[in-house]
Amino acid sequence: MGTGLFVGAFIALSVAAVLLLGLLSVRRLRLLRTERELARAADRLRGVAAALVMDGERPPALSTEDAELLARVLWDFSRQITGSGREEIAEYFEEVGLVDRQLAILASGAAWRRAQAAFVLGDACSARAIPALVEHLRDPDTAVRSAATRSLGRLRATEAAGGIVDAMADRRIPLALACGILIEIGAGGVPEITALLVHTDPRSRSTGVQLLGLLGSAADADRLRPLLTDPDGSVRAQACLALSRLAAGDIGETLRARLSDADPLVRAAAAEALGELQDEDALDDLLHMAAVDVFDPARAAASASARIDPEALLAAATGLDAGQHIAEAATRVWAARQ
Amino acid sequence: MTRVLVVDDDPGIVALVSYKLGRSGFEVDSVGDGQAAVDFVATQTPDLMMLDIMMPGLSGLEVLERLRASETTAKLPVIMLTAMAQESDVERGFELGADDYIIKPFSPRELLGRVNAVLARSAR
Repeated sequence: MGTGLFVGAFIALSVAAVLLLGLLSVRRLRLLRTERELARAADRLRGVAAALVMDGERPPALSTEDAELLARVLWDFSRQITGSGREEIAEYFEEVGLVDRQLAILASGAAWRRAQAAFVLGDACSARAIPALVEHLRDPDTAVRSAATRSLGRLRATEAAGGIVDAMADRRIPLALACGILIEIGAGGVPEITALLVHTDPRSRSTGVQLLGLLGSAADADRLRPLLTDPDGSVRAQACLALSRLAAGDIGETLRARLSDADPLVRAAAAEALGELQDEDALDDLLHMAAVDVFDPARAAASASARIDPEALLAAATGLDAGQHIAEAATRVWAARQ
Repeated sequence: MTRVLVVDDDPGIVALVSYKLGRSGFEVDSVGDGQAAVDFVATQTPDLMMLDIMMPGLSGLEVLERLRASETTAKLPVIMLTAMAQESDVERGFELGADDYIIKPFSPRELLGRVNAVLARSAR
């Protein structure tokens, strides 16, 4: 009887397994067929979407499924183009009511729906969504705040830079995301970014310095100079690098003074900055630093020397007291010439 | 009619570029990967190629290298399509002989302007 029960259970389980595999296979085939149909429909609708984006041609009447698919194609297009095509996309989504629907969800939906709405609004290209997205930089949900930030970048919302900077300083949005979006917004956000330079938190000051170095111009160098004597070493180091990016004409002497900073990372950053600027007046100091300083500044000084005057570096490498960093940099110079 | 080959694995980019150039009087062909581009120019010669850099299989830079190594395509005008983060690829592309580049996301009007400018330069 025991054996009979075992055999019966075995047969039942085997049948169940076969049925389950069969069901999964059928489901997989249906999904593949749906994917192929969707891909064909998307191919067909790309032409319709391209005509809308390029020539403002409105699509013919579409089924609900095709209208949803067209929306997805347009969202994809909105990420690929700049200029008047994005205005056409915005106009279309306003006409079909998508922007209003997503704004309504953003105001009152569950957190995951608010996040989704915030995301979609960025690809819908409508500037009308900007105030609501800025408001949601204070949303209680992290995903909503991140989606709102991302969409403000997609919309190149210069007027949102202040809100993003505040949210970043308060740690309401991830630092990397905020920096990326501020870079995407571009030079228009610079006035807001300068507010970070006087923040009480050195991490915020450091971030502000980095961003100004990436987005600012030579005219912003005067805002950064005071940060070279900031109490925090990371801020001073970032100020050296940012000033070299801005390439302000008279910054060499100020940076050379940082070669004797108490913080080795500041000395390394100053060396890197002087190399970037190809400051010949710094060469002797850099070669000395490369021979005697601790690892990071010595290495940076050797690399900077190679940039400024490779022949001088090669000559220094023949000295008995050249040190490993000069030797290493000289080897790279020599190898690049082969 | 001037013939342009668009080489990009993103069907959205292909649709946008093809539409813009088609409506501007160009005859447009498109392929979705580097090997298909190499195979295409082995039998037909377009007047200009729009070439994406990042593609599966043969990259745009590898395609460009092969084009410049062949007598029949050594002087084929090529405009690279590149994402913003790939500026080092732009430098490499120019070293290999590309004529111009367009960074994605792109302005369709600018794209047309650059196509016309490259064709005008190559005609001289």
